[in-house]
Amino acid sequence: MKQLSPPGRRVVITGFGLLTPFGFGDEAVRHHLFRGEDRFAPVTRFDTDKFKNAVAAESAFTGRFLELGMELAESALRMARIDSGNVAIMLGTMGDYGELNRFWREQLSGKAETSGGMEWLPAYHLAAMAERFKLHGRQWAYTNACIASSSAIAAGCELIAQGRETAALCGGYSLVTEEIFAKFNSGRAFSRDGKVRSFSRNRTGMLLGDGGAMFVLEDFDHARKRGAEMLAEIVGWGVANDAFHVCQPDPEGGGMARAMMKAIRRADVRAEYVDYINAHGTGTPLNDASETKAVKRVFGTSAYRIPVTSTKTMTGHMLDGTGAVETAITMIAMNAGIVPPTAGFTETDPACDLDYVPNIARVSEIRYAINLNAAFGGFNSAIMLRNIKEGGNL
Amino acid sequence: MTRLAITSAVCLGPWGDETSQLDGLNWQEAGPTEAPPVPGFIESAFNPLVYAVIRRLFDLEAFSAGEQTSLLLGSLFGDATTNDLASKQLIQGKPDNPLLFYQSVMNSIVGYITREMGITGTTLCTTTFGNMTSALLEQAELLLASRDARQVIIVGAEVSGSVKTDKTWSLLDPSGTRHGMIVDAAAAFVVEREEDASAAGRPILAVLELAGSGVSGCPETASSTYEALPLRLGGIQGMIGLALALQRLGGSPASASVLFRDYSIGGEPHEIQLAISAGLG
Repeated sequence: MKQLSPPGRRVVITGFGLLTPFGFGDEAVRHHLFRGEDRFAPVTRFDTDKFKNAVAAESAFTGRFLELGMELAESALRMARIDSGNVAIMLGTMGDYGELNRFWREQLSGKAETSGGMEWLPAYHLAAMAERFKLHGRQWAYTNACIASSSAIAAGCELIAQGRETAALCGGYSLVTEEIFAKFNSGRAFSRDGKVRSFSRNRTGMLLGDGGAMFVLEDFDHARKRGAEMLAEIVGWGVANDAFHVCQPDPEGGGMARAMMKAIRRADVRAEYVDYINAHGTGTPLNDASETKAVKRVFGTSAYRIPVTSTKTMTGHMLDGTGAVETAITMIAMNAGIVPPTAGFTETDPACDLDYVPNIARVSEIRYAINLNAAFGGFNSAIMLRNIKEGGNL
Repeated sequence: MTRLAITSAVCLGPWGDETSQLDGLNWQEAGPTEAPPVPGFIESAFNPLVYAVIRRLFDLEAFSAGEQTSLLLGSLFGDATTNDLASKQLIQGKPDNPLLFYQSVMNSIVGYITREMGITGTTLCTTTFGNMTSALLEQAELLLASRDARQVIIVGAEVSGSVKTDKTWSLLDPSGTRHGMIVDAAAAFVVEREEDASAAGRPILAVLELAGSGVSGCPETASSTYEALPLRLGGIQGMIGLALALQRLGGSPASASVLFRDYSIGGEPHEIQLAISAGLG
């Protein structure tokens, strides 16, 4: 395999803000995800009578998408002790469909228009965030659905690694809304029993959840000079396409495998150093079997010793936010030395024969970890983290 | 910085598929944009537009299949037609249109294209609040510089017919110079390292350099300056403008250099220096 870019600058995480359905911050992850608890319950935000499913993992957050993004960004910047300056913004968001829904509700009912805002536009979130926090770096948003925030993180890493930015605010967010719920309902993608049973033989589909995460990524030297606390190093990233189907994953896991291989090559470490994979693990029959094959393609027989877990079994699928949230969960797991479980696991599937850490978390040293995500259109992403204790001269 | 070469450029709009027809176009009298239908993408013109321009590049053998080819799709408003339709159907109590499930994300048309054309490299859907052309070019440059890709297809598209989009478009421009409805249009370019294009013997339409944030210093050598077209093209004004600049450059004497200004919203336009010389192509 050819080495990707010549060794560039190192990228470290110096701050983050996180929302899972259990609440803000890493404590919510430790208290609930590490205990294998899920947050699935009947939806309270809208009437679900017309849908085939009535369950999601809602949080207590009651604001709009952009308000969530602002809160997460503020937390990340505060933790990193950065309050303004030359910081890029890389966002994974599809925008706020709620505003579009309000607009059409008013139009169709002939009511006076009140929804004249721009928050439905993903790019507007960039501009609003830049203005609020007085950030002057590049501003790009990614709209590629379930790998949107992973793509944002990868872009921030690449900009820093190539020396074009010294810091980047990266991540994404999503909330359970009627608009999005309706689309997944029409696609018959929802679980039929109110649980997400990733990798389990009786899995029937996914459920949605609230979530988002924003990170401050920083050039290692820049962070060291200003004495910033480093939480983890991002050593590899990769995006690849299946070239297989409009909305189904490659059953052989080709794109996922290529994304992971890119991340591992960029990290320039041996694949067997990977101690944990946070899988996309949507709980759909197709995804989980495909993902299992992808892991085997990359790791060979070593795949059987690597814990591969789906935290969506507890948080639900956070769509544009999922890549960032699961990167945060992976980082928290790595720093705690605890592998979060795959909850709701009840039956072994011959097509899914790896170590999925069923239902109970496991204490384990994690040197390197990969967060794997996939999306419609055969899009796949991998973000590879290194434990800060493994960083040698860190 | 990597020297980028643009080796192919195509666009499609009410003017047809020849950039030469853009000059002097009467926008009031322009007809609809003609893009052939794409199976499974029947509710909106967005996906057929994206497909049409990339298919032309494919037919021109402008890029190779495989994991060394990347595809970046940019749009300010995205598939506004599908978004509107999904919203309206939900409000009208018709929340069960499976077509909208996958058509509602831009990934889907990219997946259709990658499957048909065998592209397995990095694929991204992206958006910016202005300066989209320079952002796409710089993202291409990142992929090329890191050796993640040898060729990057950048494509931009916008569609007409959305009341919400037109209202937002006017909000973005209080001065009113961008008044009028957005038209259906798309543009696509193949970008690669100049050295790779030369080594492969591919014709180079222009080489370009981006500096820092995509804003180059005003080059003393530039023989002329092109602005992004102040027309009705949404976030891809700069991309159509770039296609036109390349077409004009192609008709220049043996060596020429132009400064191209991207389309901005509220901030300064990024500048891109394009050059062509007798040694290119």
